[in-house]
Order: sequence, then C-alpha cells, then structure tokens
Amino acid sequence: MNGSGSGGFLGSFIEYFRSLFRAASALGRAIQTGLTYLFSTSEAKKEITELYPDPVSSRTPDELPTRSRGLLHNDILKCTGCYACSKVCPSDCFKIQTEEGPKPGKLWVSVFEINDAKCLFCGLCVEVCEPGSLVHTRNYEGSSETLEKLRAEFGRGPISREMREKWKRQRELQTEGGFEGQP
Amino acid sequence: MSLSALWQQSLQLAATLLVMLPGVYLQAWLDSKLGADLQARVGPSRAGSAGWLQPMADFLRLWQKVRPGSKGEHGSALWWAQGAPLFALLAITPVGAGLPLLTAPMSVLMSLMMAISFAWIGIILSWRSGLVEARLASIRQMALGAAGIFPALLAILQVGFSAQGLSWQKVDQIQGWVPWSWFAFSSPFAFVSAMVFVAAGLLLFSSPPFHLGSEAVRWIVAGFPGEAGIRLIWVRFSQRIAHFCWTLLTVRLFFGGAALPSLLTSSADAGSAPVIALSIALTLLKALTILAGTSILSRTLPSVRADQAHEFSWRVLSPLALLALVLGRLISVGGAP
Repeated sequence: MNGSGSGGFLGSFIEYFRSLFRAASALGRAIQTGLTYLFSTSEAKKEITELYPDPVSSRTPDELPTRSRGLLHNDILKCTGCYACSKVCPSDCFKIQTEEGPKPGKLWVSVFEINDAKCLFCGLCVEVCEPGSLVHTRNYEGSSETLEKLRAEFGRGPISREMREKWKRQRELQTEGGFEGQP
Repeated sequence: MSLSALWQQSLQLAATLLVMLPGVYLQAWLDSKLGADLQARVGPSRAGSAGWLQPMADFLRLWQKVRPGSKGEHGSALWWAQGAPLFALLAITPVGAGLPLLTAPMSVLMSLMMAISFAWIGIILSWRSGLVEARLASIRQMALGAAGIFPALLAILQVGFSAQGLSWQKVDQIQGWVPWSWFAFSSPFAFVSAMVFVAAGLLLFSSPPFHLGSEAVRWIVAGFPGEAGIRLIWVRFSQRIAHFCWTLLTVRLFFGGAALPSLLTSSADAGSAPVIALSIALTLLKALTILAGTSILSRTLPSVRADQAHEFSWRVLSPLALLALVLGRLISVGGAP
C-alpha cells in the first residue's frame, strides 16, 4: 500500500479513525434501512416471512405458496445423468454415478443421491435440469434423528456383470443395425 | 445496623424490585417485537394482543423443558451464586430520587463491583461441576466480562474527574434535568464515554450481540447441554435484571439520572410520594429508551463471535475510552481559569 510507509504513526492513527468512521457510518445506514421496516406501513415493507406451517392445525403442503422449495425429488426415468445439477450445486450435495445403458448414448444412472442435510434449497439444480426430472416437492418436514436418514436415493441401482455384458452386445447390435446415435 | 433500619432497607429493596419487574418484562417484549419488525418477520403475535404475553409464554415453555431424571450439577448453589450478587446489586442500584449510599465516597464504584461479581459468578458454578465443557464456557463468559470492565472503568473515571468524586451525590450535582445539561451531552468526549459504557454493559452481561451461544450458557447453568428448565429461567431472568440495573447506572451517570425540574425539587412537595414516583418513572423511561436503542443495534448487527467481541473491546472500546478520558481531561484542565 502506498500510504503505509509515508504516514508512519500518524498515518496509522488517521487510518484507525477512518476505519472507525466507515464502520460507524455503515452501521448507521444498516440501522436506517431497518428503521424503514419498523415505521413504514407500505405493502413492500410488510412481513415477508411466514410462520412455520403446522400440518396438523393449519396448512397442508398443497396450500403452500406456488414457488415453495421443499425437499428435492428426481424422476430417475427422465434423468439423463448429465451432471448439470451436480456441477451447479454450491453445497456439493449430489452424489451421482453413471454407466452406459442398454441403448447407445443413453446413460444408466446407477447412483443419484441427494444429501438433504447439505442442501441449501437454492433451486439452482432445478433451474439447470434440462429434462426436468429434478423438482422441488412441497414436502418441508425433513427432520430426522440421524444424518444418514437425510440422504435421499433415487438411483436405478448398480448393474451386474452379466447385465453389463448383455447391454454391451445390445449396443453393438444396434450400432451395426444403423441405430447409432439414436436414444 | 439496627433491626428497624434493616427492615426499612429490605422494604426499599422489595420496592425497587417491584418497580423494576414491569420494566424488565417490557424490555423482554420490546426486544423481540422490535427485532421482528426490523427484520420484516412476523414477531410474537399469538400470546396476547401484539404478543405482549410472549415473555410469560416463554417462561412457561422453558419451565417445562427439563432433562428427564436430572437435577443438574449445581443444586442450590446456582440460586445463591446468582442471587446473592444480584441482591447486592439491586440494593445499591440508583432508581429514582431515593438512593442508598447517596453520599458515600466511591458509591459509584460499589455498584460497578457488584455488577462485576454478578457477571463473573459463572466461574464458581463451572468449577464445582468439574466438566471441561462447562469450565470452557465459563472462561469465555469471564473473558467477555473482563473485556467490558476495563472500558467501563475508564468511562466512569471520566465522570469522576468532572464530578470531582465518585459518590452518587457528586455525580448528580453536575447534571440537570434538561438533556443539554446531561453529562453525556456536555462534550463529544463525554458522549463517547457514555457510548463506551453502554457497550461495556453488553459485554459484561453477555447481552446481544455479544451473547454466548445457547449451548455454552446451558453448560454453565446445568452442567450439561440441552434445556435446563427453571434453572435456565433463573439465570436468564437474573441476567436481564442485572443488565437493567447497569442501564439504570448508565442513566444516573450520563443521562441526567432522576433529575427533575427545580420547580418540583425546591417546592415543599420535594420529598412527597408523587415527586418520588415521577423521578422513578423518568429514570425507568430513560433506561427503556436506551435498552430499545441497544435492541435495535443488536438486531441490526449479526451475532458477534467471542474473539470478535474481544477485538472490539481491546481495539476499539478501550482506546476510545482512554482517548476520550485523556483529551477530555486535557481540555478541561486547559480551559480552567
């Protein structure tokens, strides 16, 4: 920094008070913003949170707002195993494993695990999901006694060695028969 | 002390507590209501109109939450350890015009000593329990208290130099009832000292935004994590009372105390019950205003970690208090005839 050598003690003294002033003015602005919520009666400043819905006495999941983001669900039959959700996830909550499926170019999603304990419910994965297989449900009751129970598994399961061999032969036959590139 | 004097003192203490309890209740409600409104949340709204019964509902809820089969680690020690310094603090807290130890030298410091003893009591409880987690939580509480004591002492010295003494009577003599005659507004340095004293109180009693984590408090209170029922209520309640006492000290030291217009104090009714009640009401109103201000501040800031609280105390509060003291003193000495 330019001023560190030139100012010496006086410079750091001035910088100390400058930083105090900056902190105080930032705090003042923050309080000012908060006070507008305290005193304003306009619609835009009304409460934007809702009480936690009590499923017994008040709301059912169907009555929640339309864009509510509940626990994630993946329709594995639609899922292409493209990893787009995993790449965009800020909290690294997806664990995906894919293998080649019975048809050429089509992946078999053997493991598709969502760790709800890590999920931020930001909705980015749903936004980027091209086949539309990943959706937010309306289910918000995700509490569990152990972290293990918070792992939701949607994968189609591992493939046996025999199945792998069989699909390989199928793909070869389909490719020879002119089906290359077809899903 | 004769028996009748002791009786009179006890009655005065009971009256003080009776006056303060509604104030503490109001402060608890205001804190949650203001916090919710500031953060655009639905605040307490179910228990009573505008949620004014919520502190009572919280009290009942906490009361029921006790770990099954456990009586805690401290037994009756908790009640005495928190209760005795609180009793002493209450006994010498300046509420209204009637004040014990009004003319005693250093009576201001006595109040500070009682506040410190209350704030540091956690260490006794934790050492009895012998649990590592409880001891660590108590050390954190003590360290936070220590971070508040030094700047508070500097701020009190600023008042002491101006009043030329540290008795409540001398402090009262340098202030009037109108805001511009309050010590806090007598100079920019005095104002800085007043703000430092308010912030030091938040540190000393682990009040938001400098509060310990809930789990840490529970380790201290009960010797185990989790809810601790009536013991937790007692500790939180006594902490609120102690912080309220600290705010009353702030009012008395920096914001005119219980000073009333001279028209009232010089008349024949000066010592009458309505005038005393008015002075008490004025003190409580000032204290509640300061507490509402600190509530707004603490709800605006994110929770401060223990290390950040220490940094704030030693790098901001203490230097500012020291600078205000030295510069204030230099200017007053230089300006003296």
